[in-house]
Amino acid sequence: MVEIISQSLASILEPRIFFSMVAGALAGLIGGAIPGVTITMTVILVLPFTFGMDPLQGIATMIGVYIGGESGGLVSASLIGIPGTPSAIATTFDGHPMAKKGEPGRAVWTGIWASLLGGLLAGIALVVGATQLARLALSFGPWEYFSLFVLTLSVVGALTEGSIIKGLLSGTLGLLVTTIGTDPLMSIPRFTFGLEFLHTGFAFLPILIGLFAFSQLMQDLETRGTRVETQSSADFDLSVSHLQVLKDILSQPFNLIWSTLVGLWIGILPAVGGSAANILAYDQAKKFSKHPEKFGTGISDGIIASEASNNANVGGSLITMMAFGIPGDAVTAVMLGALIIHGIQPGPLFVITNVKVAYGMLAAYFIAHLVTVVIEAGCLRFFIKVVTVPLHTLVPIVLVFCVVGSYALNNIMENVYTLLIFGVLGYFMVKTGFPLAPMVLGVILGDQIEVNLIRSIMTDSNLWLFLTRPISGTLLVLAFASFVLAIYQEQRSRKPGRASA
Amino acid sequence: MSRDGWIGLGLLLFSGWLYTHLDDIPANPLVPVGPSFYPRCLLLLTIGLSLALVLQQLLTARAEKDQASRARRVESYRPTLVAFSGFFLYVLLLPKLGYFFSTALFVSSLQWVLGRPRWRRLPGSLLLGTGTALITYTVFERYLHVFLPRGSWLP
Repeated sequence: MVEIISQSLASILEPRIFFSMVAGALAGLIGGAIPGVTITMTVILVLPFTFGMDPLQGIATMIGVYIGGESGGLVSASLIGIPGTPSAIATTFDGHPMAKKGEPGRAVWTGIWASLLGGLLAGIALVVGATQLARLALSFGPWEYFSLFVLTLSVVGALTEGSIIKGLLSGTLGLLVTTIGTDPLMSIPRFTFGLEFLHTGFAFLPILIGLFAFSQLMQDLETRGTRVETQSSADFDLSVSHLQVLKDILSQPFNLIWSTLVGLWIGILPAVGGSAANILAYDQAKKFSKHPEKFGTGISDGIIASEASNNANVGGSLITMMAFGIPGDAVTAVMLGALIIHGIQPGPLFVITNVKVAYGMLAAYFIAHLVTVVIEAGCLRFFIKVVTVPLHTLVPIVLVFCVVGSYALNNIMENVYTLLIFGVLGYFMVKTGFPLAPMVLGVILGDQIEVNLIRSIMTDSNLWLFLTRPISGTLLVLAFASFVLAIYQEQRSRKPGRASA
Repeated sequence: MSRDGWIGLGLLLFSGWLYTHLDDIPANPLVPVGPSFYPRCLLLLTIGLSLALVLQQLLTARAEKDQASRARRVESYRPTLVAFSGFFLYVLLLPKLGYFFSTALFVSSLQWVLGRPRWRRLPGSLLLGTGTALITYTVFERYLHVFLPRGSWLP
C-alpha cells in the first residue's frame, strides 16, 4: 500500500497534474473567499476545463478546488465578517471579533493552520476508511445495496431542515426523474411521450448545475442585491508569529481532534456537508470548553473547531464517495458526475479497478492541503480584494460557465435546456421550502436503486430477504429509525413555546 | 388551503397523470418485473406523500406561520426577474447567434442592467462582455478542445 501511495504522490507531482491542481486550489480559494460563490459553484465553474483532461488530472484539479474552497471561506469570514462559504459560518463567530480586536493576521492564520491540521488528520481516516469500507462493500449483494441507498435517501430526506414530507417528496421526485428515458436493464423507453430528446433521459450534471448553481445565484440576487460594500485591503495587517499560532492550536489537542472527528463523521453522512459540520463542531467545542462564556469574543478555540471540522468534512465526503459511490455532499456529487463522464463508476470496485485514480485522489488530497497553505501565504492580500467583486459582474459570468459546463458535456443544446428547466425548478423548490439535497441524491442514486431492486427480485422473488439478510435488514431498520427520529423531532419542535425559541 | 397544500394537490394530480401513462410502457417477458414496476412504486409513494402534504396543511395552521415568516424577509424580485429573463433569452439565442456573439451580448447587457444602468457604464460593460466571450471562446475552443455552439444565423 505504501508503494502505491508513493507512486500516486509521484504522479500527482508530475507538472501537468500538479499545476492543474494548483490552479484548482487557487480557483477554490478565490471562489471560497467571495461571498455568494459556494464551493459547489466553483467546482461547477471549473468542471468544463476538466473535460479535456485525463481522469486523474481532472479529479486532482477538482480536489484542489474543494480544499482551496474550504480554506478560502475563512478569509472573508474573519476579515469582513461575511462567510465566503456556508462551511465558514462558525468561523465568523470568533474570527471576525479577533480581527476587529486588532489581530486579523492571527485570526486568518489560526484558521489556515487549523484547516491544514484537521484536513491532514482526516486524510489518515480517508486512506484507511475508503479502502476498508470498499472491501466491506464488496461483500454486498443487490439486497444490501438497495437497502443502503434507501437508508441514504431516508436519512437525507428525513433529517434535512424543514418538513419531513417535503424532504421525502423531494427525494422521490429525484428518483422519478431517473425513470424518464430508457430503463437501465432492458432499454425500454418510459415517459418519453414521443420526444427524441427524452429517450436518453436527463443528463445528471446539467440537473446538478441547474439545481445548485442557477437557483443559488437567483436567490443571492434576491436576498443580497447586486452591490457589496467595498473594503480596503490596506486596513488589515496580516503579519503574525506562525510559531505562536501553531503552539496555540497544538495546546488544544482535544478541541482539534474532536472537531476533526465531528467534521469527518458529518462528511461521511451523505449530502449533509461542511455547513453543518462547522456549526456542530463549534457548538461541541463550546460545550466541552472550560470557558464557554468567552466563545464569540474572538478566541482561537472557536476558529480551530470550525476550520478543522470543515476541512475534515472533505475527507469524510470522499470516503463515502470512493467506497460506496454515494456523494457526501454537493461537491462530491459533481465530482462523482465528472468521474462518470470519464467512464469511471465510483463504488466498491472503484478502489480495486482504478487503483491509479483512487490512490491518486488520496495523494491529491494531501498535496492540495499543503499547496493551499503556500498559496494563501503568498496571495492573502489579493483574496481580500477579490471578495469585493460585485454580484452584478459575477452573476452573468457564472451563468456563462454554467452553460458551457452543460453544453460541453455532449455538445448538445438539450443539456442547456435541462439546466434551465432544473434551475427554475430548483429556485421554486427553495422558495417553497423543498430541500434540494434529497432531490439531487435521488437523481444520483435512482438508476442504482432500480438496478439493485430488480436484480434482487430476479435472483429470488422472496421480498423478505431484504429484511432477513443481516446487513440489509440492519440498514432498513436504521432507515426506519431515522424516519421515526425525524418525526419525533418535528413533533417536538412544533410544541408551543419551542417554535418561538 | 395554504401554498403547500396547493403544491401537494398539484403533485398529486401530476403523479396521478403519470400513473395513467404506466400502461403505455411495454412489458418484458424476460424479467419477472417489467420496466413499469419501479416507476409504479415511486408514483404510489409520490401520491401517498402528496396526499400527506395536503392533509398536513389542512390539519395544521402552517399557512399563517409561512406567511408571517415570508413577511419578515426583505427580498427584491427585480434583479432575479431581470437575470432570469436575460438568461432565458441567452439560451434561446445561443443556437442562433453562436457562443461568441450571444455570450458577449448576454454578459454586457446583464452586467449593465443589474448594476446602475447609466450610459457612462456601458463601455465598461461591453468590454467585460466581449472580453469574457473572447477569453472563454479561445480557452475552450483552442486549448481545451471543448467545442461551443455555432450560430445557425451566421454564415
